[in-house]
Amino acid sequence: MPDKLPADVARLLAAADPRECDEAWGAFVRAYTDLLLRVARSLGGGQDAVMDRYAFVLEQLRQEGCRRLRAYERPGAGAFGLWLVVVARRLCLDHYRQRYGRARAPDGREDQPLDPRKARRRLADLIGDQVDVAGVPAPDTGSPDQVLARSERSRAVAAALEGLPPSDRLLLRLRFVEELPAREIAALMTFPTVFHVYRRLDAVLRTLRAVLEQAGVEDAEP
Amino acid sequence: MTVPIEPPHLEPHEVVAYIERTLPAPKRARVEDHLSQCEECTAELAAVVRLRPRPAERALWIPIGVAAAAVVAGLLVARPLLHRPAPAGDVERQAQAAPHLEIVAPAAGGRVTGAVTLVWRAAPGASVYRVTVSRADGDSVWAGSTTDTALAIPANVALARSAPYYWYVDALLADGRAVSTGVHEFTTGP
Repeated sequence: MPDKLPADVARLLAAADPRECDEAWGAFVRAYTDLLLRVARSLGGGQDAVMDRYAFVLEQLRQEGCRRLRAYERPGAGAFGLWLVVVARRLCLDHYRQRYGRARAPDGREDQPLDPRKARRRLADLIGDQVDVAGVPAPDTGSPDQVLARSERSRAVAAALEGLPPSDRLLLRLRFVEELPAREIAALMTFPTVFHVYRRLDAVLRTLRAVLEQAGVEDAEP
Repeated sequence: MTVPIEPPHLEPHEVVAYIERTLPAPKRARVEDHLSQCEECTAELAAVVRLRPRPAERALWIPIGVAAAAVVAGLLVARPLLHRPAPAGDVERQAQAAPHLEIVAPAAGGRVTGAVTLVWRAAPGASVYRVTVSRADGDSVWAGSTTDTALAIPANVALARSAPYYWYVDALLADGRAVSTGVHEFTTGP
């Protein structure tokens, strides 16, 4: 058993009869609703979308005698709240995929650029009440020469990134793709201070710049 | 057509253990390797870090002076823990940050009379040293930076007589990594 199982959850998982289980479930929902709503809101959309996700997460957590919550019961499982955030977010993504399907490219890989019509439909559902989707312009891909140069440059950047140690690639990804604050990166990746995060980023970027210059890439734009 | 086989995504407990830094070194390295290649898992990691419950947020309601003292005290208490047998990425990072930082004077637990000059050995590749001195209650007394390996506590910093003080030096290396002396104690003269 994990040593950090909260009393509410322990009671729920140990509940022997339906009445006891209902009561324990009510207590669990009261205790974790704020957290679950935060997770549901984090995926965007209006209030209805958020509440749909929240309801879906609760339904899935309760299914089959709280099978998903029982998965937490393992040695060294870590903090329950943090674990619940991971599980709830995955359930929210499942709900999203059930509704819209997976983003799957022709080569079978997921999460590749979508078919523009599907993308517009998702956009309309997610933020259609805030943005006039019909007014969103089609992307300007530029001339064939520019497209080719951009593609070559992307390949050079990918190759340069591939040559970095995993920890440096992760550092770049967390900072520039996920835009995680430096203090969060410092805590995650065991840097003593944010200062060290910036210094390391600077060193990695200098390395990348040198590699790209060797590969003939001088500018950000072709 | 060949469909690329993707490695399985991280399990929820692996994400939690990575954030809590409880994974053993080889496992942490494998998780980090996966994260460096998997957009979905990195996006999840970042989202979970942003969403995680933060009991420390309540500390914002503590008056600032008390909070500052608590932070410094926490640092002093936690610092020895940072030198425990290092798990995972800590091992790699410390191995890369090879230079070891040693104090010279005052000796650990030593007594100092008159002006206090803190001295340590040079760390190869260090670009700057940061020195911090704190009281036993955790309040920071003084902090300074230098490129040298010695720094005197300025005369205008009032140190109590016959009182214990704690000090440590962080060497910041040119590539962004750091090494520390850990916390050492000295006592002022009567």
